[in-house]
Amino acid sequence: MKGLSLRWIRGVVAGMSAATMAAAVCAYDHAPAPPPPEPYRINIPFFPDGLNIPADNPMTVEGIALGRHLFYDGRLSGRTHPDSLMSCATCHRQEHAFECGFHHPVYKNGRPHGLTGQPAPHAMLPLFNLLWNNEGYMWNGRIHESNQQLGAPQYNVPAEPPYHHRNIESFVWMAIVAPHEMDGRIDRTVCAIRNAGLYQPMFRKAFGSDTVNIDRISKAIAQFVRSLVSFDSKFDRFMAGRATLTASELNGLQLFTTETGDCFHCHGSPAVPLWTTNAFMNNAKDIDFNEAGDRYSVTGNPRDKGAYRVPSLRNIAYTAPYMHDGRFATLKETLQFYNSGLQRSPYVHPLMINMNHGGAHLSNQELADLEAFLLTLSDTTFVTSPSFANPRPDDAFFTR
Amino acid sequence: MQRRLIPCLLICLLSCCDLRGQNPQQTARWTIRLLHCVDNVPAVYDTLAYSNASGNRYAVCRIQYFISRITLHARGTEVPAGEPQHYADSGLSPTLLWQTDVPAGRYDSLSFTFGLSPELNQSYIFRNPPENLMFWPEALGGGYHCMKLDLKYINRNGQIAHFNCHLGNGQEKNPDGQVTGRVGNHFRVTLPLQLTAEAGKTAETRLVMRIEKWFDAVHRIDFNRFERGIMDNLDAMRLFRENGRQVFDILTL
Repeated sequence: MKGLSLRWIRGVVAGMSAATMAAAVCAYDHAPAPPPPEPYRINIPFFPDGLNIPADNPMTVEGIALGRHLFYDGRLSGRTHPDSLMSCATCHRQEHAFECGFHHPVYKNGRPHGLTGQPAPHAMLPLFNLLWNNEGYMWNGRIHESNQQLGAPQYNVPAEPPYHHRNIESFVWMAIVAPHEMDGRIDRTVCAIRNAGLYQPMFRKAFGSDTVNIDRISKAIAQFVRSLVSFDSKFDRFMAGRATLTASELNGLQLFTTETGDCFHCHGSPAVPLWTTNAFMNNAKDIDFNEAGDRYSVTGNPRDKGAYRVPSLRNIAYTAPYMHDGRFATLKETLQFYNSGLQRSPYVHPLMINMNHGGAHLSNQELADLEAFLLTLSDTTFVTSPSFANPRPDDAFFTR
Repeated sequence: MQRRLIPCLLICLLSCCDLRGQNPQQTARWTIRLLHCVDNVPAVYDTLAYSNASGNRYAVCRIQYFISRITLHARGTEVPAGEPQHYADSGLSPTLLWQTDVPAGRYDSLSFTFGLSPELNQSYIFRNPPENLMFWPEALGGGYHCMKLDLKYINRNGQIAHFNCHLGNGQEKNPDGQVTGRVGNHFRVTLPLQLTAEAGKTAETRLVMRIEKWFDAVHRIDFNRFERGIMDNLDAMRLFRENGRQVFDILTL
């Protein structure tokens, strides 16, 4: 009787387990469609309203949440061994406005390299306020809506629609396969994310089903990157009447926005609160221009030789080293270059009027004032915001 | 079936009548094509192909400007045309073609403000590029540039040098450097015109900027005098403003 009873109990338990599992599977398979994702709206006072958001990837709360996880997940490299994990956040660190920072423990002097050790061809650009850039991404603007290129045969990436070179989405597959970044394979990345266990419900909420593919991974990460908005520096608060500037900072602003310092034509002013025109300019660093990655390599127009993106001066304190090749380690060095190191050449942008004299020739006090003003563009809220931080800091797969 | 068709036909007929009631024949499409010439030929950019009256060899790199309050005139009657302002940029070809609807008729002159007219020239009115990139810093008087004309030239030492002919609000200052007044460097341009805008048709006017006249129409300019720019130089901007009154011509097709 006992034996029978035990068998009976085991049988019942087994049956119930099977039924429960079956029910769970059925429930999962036949779960009602999730509610449509919640649109994510951005409207920053005084910022432009022309946002660079592709029609096929509108920003949603759920998409951004998923993208934030993927951004920090080391399995994006397609690997799971602790030594081989690499995520976007490995190099793009929040405390450095999503650059790697000059004193990164691995990437010396702010120059990142890939898992293979191959160095990145250029210094990093920070990640913020990118959805207001309609002029093209990277130092030379090659990633642009007008770019018809698909795939990358050198990395066996086929010429198919998900592998475009048009927008922030493009950087995800590029980062996966580039030898100076993750040096991986897209199919392995998709597999690693699919097998991670936590993502299917998030994909379902963000995209309506739990399908994991590179198109969705790219779109989610791009949504998160577009959500990285910096608009709360001391200078922003000054413009809103919520902060005051010191005499030195005000004098720095004066120098910045007159032809004495002549910074404003390229980097903007309170009327251009992105603090960049997003243009591409040769800023008189050199006299020979043989580098393959300049703006000329994109346009073929000789006037663009040696021209690179004008970076935003927001958060400039966090984003050393400076210039496309990271040649200046500090802000002081950079200001010193503009003060007395400009090189005359036929390719310098015509707005660089201080080229006529080799620089602005400000006094030491004026340089100090200019630097003081630039530091008011630091957005501590942005670099410490929990909304942009690693969502699973205790998870070993979620890397720094 | 017939009972249903009759009201439908009536609605269609009435709709047609409504369209005719709008009488589109009363208006004409007017196109202004903005052209930039040097020495009577279209400007070739980024080439040191030109010489001014002072003997400076120069290249035109780009030109960006506002015109505002564009008005057609017919026997003393003023007809405001289109948007209050228009931004033109030699690097953005769509901005060099400007279209609007005007009442059909004959017009004998055209006037506009070069730059933004004072009621429009208020800081922060433009939120988006390219217009917002024309800002004129508050430290120099605020508002927006009338014009950015950027040149390269061979300076007195035989070196390549830059000259930025940027016009905007000037500031009068006392001997201590304190700002005592503001001088707008916009100006009104009136040009004779023979424009017949026929109802339902498109008429085109070519508005030509003769770039070389910025440097010699009234005052002869030597670029070497302005190596540090003119934005904080009231006297220099006055010279260009006075030259500027003669830089435009009209060609009517």
